[in-house]
Amino acid sequence: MMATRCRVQLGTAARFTLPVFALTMSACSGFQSALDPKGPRAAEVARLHWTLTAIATAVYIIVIGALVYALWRASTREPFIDEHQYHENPDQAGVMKRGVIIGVTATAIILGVFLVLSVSTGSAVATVRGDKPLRIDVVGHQWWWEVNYDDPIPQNQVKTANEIHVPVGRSVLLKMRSSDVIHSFWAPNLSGKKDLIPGHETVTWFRADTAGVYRGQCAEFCGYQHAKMAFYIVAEPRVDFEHWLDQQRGPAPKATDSLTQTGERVFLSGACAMCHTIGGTGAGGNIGPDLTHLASRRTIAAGTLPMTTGNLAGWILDPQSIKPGTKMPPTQLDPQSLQALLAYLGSLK
Amino acid sequence: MRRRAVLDVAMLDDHSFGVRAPIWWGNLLMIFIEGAAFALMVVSYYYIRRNFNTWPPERTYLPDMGVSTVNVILQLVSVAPIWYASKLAVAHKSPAEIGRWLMLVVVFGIAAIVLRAFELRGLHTRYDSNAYGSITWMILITHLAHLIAGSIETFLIALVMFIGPVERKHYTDTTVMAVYWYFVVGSWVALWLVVFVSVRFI
Amino acid sequence: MAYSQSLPMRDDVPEPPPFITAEVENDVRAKLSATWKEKSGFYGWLTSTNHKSIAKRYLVTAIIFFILGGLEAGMMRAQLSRPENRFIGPDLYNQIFTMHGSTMMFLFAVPVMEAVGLYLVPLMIGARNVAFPRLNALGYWMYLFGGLLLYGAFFFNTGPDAGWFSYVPLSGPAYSPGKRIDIWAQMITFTEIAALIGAVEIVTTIFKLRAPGMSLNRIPLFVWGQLITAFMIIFALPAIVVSSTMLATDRLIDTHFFNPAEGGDALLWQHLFWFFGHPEVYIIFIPALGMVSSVVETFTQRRIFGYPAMLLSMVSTAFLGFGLWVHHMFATPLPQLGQSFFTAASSAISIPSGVQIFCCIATIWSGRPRFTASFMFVLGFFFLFIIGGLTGVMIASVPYDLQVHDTFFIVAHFHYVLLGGAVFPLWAGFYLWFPKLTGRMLSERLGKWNFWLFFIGMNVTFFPMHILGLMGMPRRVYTYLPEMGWGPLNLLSSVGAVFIVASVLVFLSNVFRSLRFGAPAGENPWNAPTLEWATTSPPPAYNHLFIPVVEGRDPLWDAAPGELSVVSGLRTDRHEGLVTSIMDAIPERRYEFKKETILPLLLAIFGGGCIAIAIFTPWGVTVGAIMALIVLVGWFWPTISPDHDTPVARARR
Repeated sequence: MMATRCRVQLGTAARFTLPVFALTMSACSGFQSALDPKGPRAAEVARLHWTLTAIATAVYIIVIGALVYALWRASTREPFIDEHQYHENPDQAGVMKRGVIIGVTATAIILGVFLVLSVSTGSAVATVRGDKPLRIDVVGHQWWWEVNYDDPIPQNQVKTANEIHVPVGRSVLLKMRSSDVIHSFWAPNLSGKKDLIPGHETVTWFRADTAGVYRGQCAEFCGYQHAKMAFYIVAEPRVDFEHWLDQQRGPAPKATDSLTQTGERVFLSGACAMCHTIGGTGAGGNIGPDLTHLASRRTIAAGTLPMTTGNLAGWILDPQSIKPGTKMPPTQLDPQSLQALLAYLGSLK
Repeated sequence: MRRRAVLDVAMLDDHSFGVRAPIWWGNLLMIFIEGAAFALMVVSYYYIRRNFNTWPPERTYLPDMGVSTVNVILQLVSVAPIWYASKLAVAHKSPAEIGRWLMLVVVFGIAAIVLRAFELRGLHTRYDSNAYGSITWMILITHLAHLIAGSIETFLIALVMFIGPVERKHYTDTTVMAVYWYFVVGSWVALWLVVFVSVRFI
Repeated sequence: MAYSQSLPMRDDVPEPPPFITAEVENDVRAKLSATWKEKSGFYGWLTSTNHKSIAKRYLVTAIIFFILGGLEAGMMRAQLSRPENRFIGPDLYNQIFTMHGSTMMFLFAVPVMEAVGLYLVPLMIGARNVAFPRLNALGYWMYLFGGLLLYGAFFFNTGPDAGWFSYVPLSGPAYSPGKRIDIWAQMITFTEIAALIGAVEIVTTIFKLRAPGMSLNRIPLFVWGQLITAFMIIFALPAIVVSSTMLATDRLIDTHFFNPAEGGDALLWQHLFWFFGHPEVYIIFIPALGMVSSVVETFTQRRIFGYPAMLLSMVSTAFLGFGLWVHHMFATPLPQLGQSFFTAASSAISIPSGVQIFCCIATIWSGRPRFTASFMFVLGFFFLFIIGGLTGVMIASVPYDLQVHDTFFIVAHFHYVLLGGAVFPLWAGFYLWFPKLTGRMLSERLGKWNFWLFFIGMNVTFFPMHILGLMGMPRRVYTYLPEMGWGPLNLLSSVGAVFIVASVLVFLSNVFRSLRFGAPAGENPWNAPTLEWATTSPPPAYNHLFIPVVEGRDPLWDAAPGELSVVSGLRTDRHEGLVTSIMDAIPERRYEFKKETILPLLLAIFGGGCIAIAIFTPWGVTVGAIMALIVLVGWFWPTISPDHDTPVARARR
């Protein structure tokens, strides 16, 4: 009866490992996954992950195996006859002592191995690869990311939000701070996270080795809409990146036809200009994201919705239903004004 | 279950001093707790220092040494009467005499409390001016709470000594009070060194 | 087994003294029952200073909070079971996860461990009560009022919503207007006072009230665990006392501890909080290790192997636990060399845990295991805690942590160590000691259902979270987008929660059924070795008829079966116990425990009122302090005990 129970325990263990492996594999591809590295920092950590997981699994199997063996062995012995057997059996004492010492020594050695692996991975990810990294400043806000491309020439500085373009194969150095509470910048495909802390400037770096669009998300609880504070890193060939940067440097495209001009008027005369900037117009608010090249972005509301006219309309009319608690108030607009505004915003490429 | 009585304790005393008294241990553990809190405030003080270019911060005078030095010396002196009262208590001497020495300690305590008000003024900063003001006020006010509690407790024990009825456990209470008072004074010496002395060097 | 030491024992007498006669025992029993009888009715309940009554209150209250915390978890799992779910909006969700964390950490985990200690420690060491019975009562009332404050606020939509760790500046005056966080900070004041009181009780009781002969090397590991934990509480809780006070004053009277614009620092909060927060989890874990030792001994019918190693490993865990806190802050701008130190320390702490596990396995190997529900929960502890410990070593590594920090990987890790490492041993302890507490046996059948449902539920709920974290899902999010691909695993996790709910329902029905219909337990149904099993189930108010005299580490196994050496001469007309020396437990003096009084409740009401008013105005501190002073004067008001104990009076007796 005792032995059956032991077998039950073993069976349970087996029943766990297979589904576990299957599930773990599902993290391997994808979107915002630490196990799908696209740059050296994330790659080092992914390598470390597999090594540590393998060692940890082996340790677990061994220790649980020892436990199960102990249970089975003890269950098959003669029952105790009297109270003198409560105390240590001298024959067994030696075996047990050796067992514990081996266990503890093995633990210490494995921990030493972990430590070496960890420190070496740590050094590998700490140093910025290559010289002349691209410098970008990031400022965290509740609940969006302000992105500034630094440049000694003021006209060449770029201000955007929630989307970071980088050239493939070149290191990017981010200097980060927060305008309000603590946020954390995390794009798992590319690197580990770093906090943005008011009163401190923090620095992180990454390099994208494959072209692609990588999603990141705020990883430090920052209030109501912490869940919807994402950003995109667009890694593209150098030529495409330079082209994008050039386009971003210019002022907003002028409103040419009557619809867009109406839209521009709606924007400037309404509450929009109080919080948002559109370069080259009178709108100079800096509470919300810079909208100069809004239409060139893939998403709105910090990665919450794809950039489409419909989504933009929904966001403008009632941001609270999409991101309750966001700082942007609802805007009442009649259909014609809305249409014009959307046309204008859609022209801001 | 059948029991054999192998040890008889009927003639054992029913009160004790020092490490043999549970109340003494309760007091010591409370001292550990409060001591840990003070230690963390001191660590916070030096942590905050790193956020300023000068210390004290710009446009803040150094805290006054005069009043604070007098207060430290006064408190150190107050250790003597309570130490003596404690010695008398262990020897089960006259409650009235113990009460008189304890009252002397209370007088010192009141003096320290009054001087604390001047020390706070002598910080030349408000608790809401900046982080330096906040941490120095927190240290002084927390210690002030201990001065007040200690003075009141000593006063009450002295009262019992005068008015009675005095039990032998009150002698133990006197010695425990003394240990607490040593903590109040000792912690102040350390805190004074941090807030009033080290400020001049860091 | 002979243990030589200098005790004033009458072992120079050729034969052992005769057994105490039944007449004498009945006479003593009658007198003690009369003396220790508590007032009946509601007033009696309010004024009780009996450690068992107070501990049972702690237990019941803690379990209620566990259920409330579990309901909060259930709501979270319901909300997260589907992407873009509209079950709960962000404001309520943020309150719920804050309440869940705060409830589990402050209102359940630490109080329940202290409760088990406050109940069992005096029984296990042969004392009649804790050292300061009135203080013990005060501790309970403060705990209860703190919990009521928090839940009252929650039901009025004023629950805190910045996380159980309440990082600044989010929880500061600028970004958390209103009273939510002030209520959280004062809840901390209540619960920290209760925890510190419990710790002072446990240390003093274990140091000074042990049965004669229970020298340091004969103290049960459970009691050692409680002692070590109590010291951790004494040195760790002040950190959150200081930091929550700083937060309260920043919010109430404009201090600038955490305001970077005036030289304050958001990181100061983190350092102070985690200096408390990391030892906190070992405060929860070390008592559980003590329970595991008791359960393993009892259900393998073998002394634990390696007592000195087990003890040393608990002590080193406690010390090391104070040196790990920065591993919660690896994503902040701290120097890399400093971070490596914390990696090393965080890894090293698994060595003492390993010692515990290996010694337990050795004990099991040499013993005769009985697969009772209690023992199964301990086996579950091994299966689950080791997973949590291994992921813990993984996240001790800085680069690894920087990927999984603040993701569901961490949620998985700490639930494995907290549920596996503390709650499973706690359940094992319930199943072991329920017969002692209530005099009735729990159903073993229901116990095994309880175990399997919880074990399966736990794994189904929390294992997928490891993967979710690696897939990029951060913590503390009220929803997520469908295209992230996190839906299926979240759904699976939420299904697991249903099993956990079922398990708790089975447990509750087991408890209620057994209270009415359970088999009578008798003194020692499990043939366990420690002193709590040497008295009736449930124990009488005075615990043991005569204080035992201990001859070994497992008193009931070391003594001849059915026989016990005891102490005579304690008074039966007042609440009297025995104070012994710390090292060798040599009797030093007799000690009077304070009887029941309404003062602790009054002090809790006035002191608590002051703390609650301090949420709104600093004048609460002044007013409350004056009221508290009045009560304290009453507390220490001198009274001559009715039968004043002078040497002459003693001799006459």
